[in-house]
Amino acid sequence: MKNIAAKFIILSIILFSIISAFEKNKQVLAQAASPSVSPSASQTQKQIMQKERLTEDISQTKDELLSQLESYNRDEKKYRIALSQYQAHQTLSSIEDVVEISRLTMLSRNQVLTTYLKLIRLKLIETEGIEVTHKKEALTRIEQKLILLGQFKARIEPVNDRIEINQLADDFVEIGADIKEDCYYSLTLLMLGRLQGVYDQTNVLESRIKEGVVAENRLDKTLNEQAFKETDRLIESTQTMLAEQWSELGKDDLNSKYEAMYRRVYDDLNLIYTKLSQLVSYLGELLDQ
Amino acid sequence: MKKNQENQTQFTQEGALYESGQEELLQTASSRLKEDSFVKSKKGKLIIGLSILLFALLALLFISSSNKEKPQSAPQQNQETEIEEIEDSSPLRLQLEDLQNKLEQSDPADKDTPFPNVNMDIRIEEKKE
Repeated sequence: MKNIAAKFIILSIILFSIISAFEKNKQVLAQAASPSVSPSASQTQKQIMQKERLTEDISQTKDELLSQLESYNRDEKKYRIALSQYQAHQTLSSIEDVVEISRLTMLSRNQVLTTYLKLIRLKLIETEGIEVTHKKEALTRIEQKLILLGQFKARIEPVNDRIEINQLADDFVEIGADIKEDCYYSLTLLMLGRLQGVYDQTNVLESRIKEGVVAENRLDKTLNEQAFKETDRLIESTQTMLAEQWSELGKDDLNSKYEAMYRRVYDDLNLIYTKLSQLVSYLGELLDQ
Repeated sequence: MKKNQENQTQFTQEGALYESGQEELLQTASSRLKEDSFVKSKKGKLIIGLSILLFALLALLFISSSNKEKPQSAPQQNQETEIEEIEDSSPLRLQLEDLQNKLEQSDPADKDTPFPNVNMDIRIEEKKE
């Protein structure tokens, strides 16, 4: 009897394993047969991942810049003390101190400007509404300035003489002014580009809402027409203002006056922002109806 | 002599026990023979085969029912509720929310990356004009 039971158990185990193997195989086959992710979906996923990586890079660079600025401020404070000591005493030791501290402060400044340019470059890449030609121009300028800063750093490192420090300071006047102008050019592009991005998206959303409202016949005709007329009017005036700003930015005579422009356009951009806020609120109202 | 007499009595007393033991052995041997003949017989084979088939059927039923009743894992449930939530809010509403977020980020008053306040003229002596 024991013999029969043992055989029965062995047989049932074999049967069980065959059945479970069959089930697992079925699951694997089902997974393999499931439709693969469509290329457009994978592309969107790729874009999302790239954007996430970019946001992460921006935040890392910002942190880096903050710590470098702290270090620069400490060096700059030491430089001012050393300079006043040198001007007061004119001793050999004070000359030695001021040369070394000036060198370190110059290196520190170089580092801050390099990181800042890198941050602006990342932000330019991230911002969607900037016109391609302007974006390319700004990125090229930044690349050139990064190379210049690298070369300047190589010149600062071996310096140990007062005259050489003064020579470096003279040479940096032009480089520094160019860096500043290019940064203000990029900052203006960023401000304008962000607003342009919002405007573009607003325009698309408005036409979609219009389609939806008309298709579902949610509003009565007179109210419908009035609401969209008002929205269209606002869209048109915003578009005109944005176009004016872009053409202003493209003028050749503006070259190397971007810092002034950045400060001047603030009021105009603020007005565009107010109009866009109004538009977004209109769209919300249209959706709620 | 006394010893032998005692042993004989013991032998005669225990004799019955030995005989009954042999009977038991004979009985078990015969039952084993019966079992072997049961396994080899057509009837026995049929019963074993049927029981295996029945067992296999039960196992199949058990597996299929356990697959159907398998509770869904927590992430799957979360995904489903998320999908339901997305379905609840229309795509236009989602676009509007995204637009509102972008609008907030594009405020010109919010200057998150101003030009760093650094000394552009680090020198030891004043520049000679």
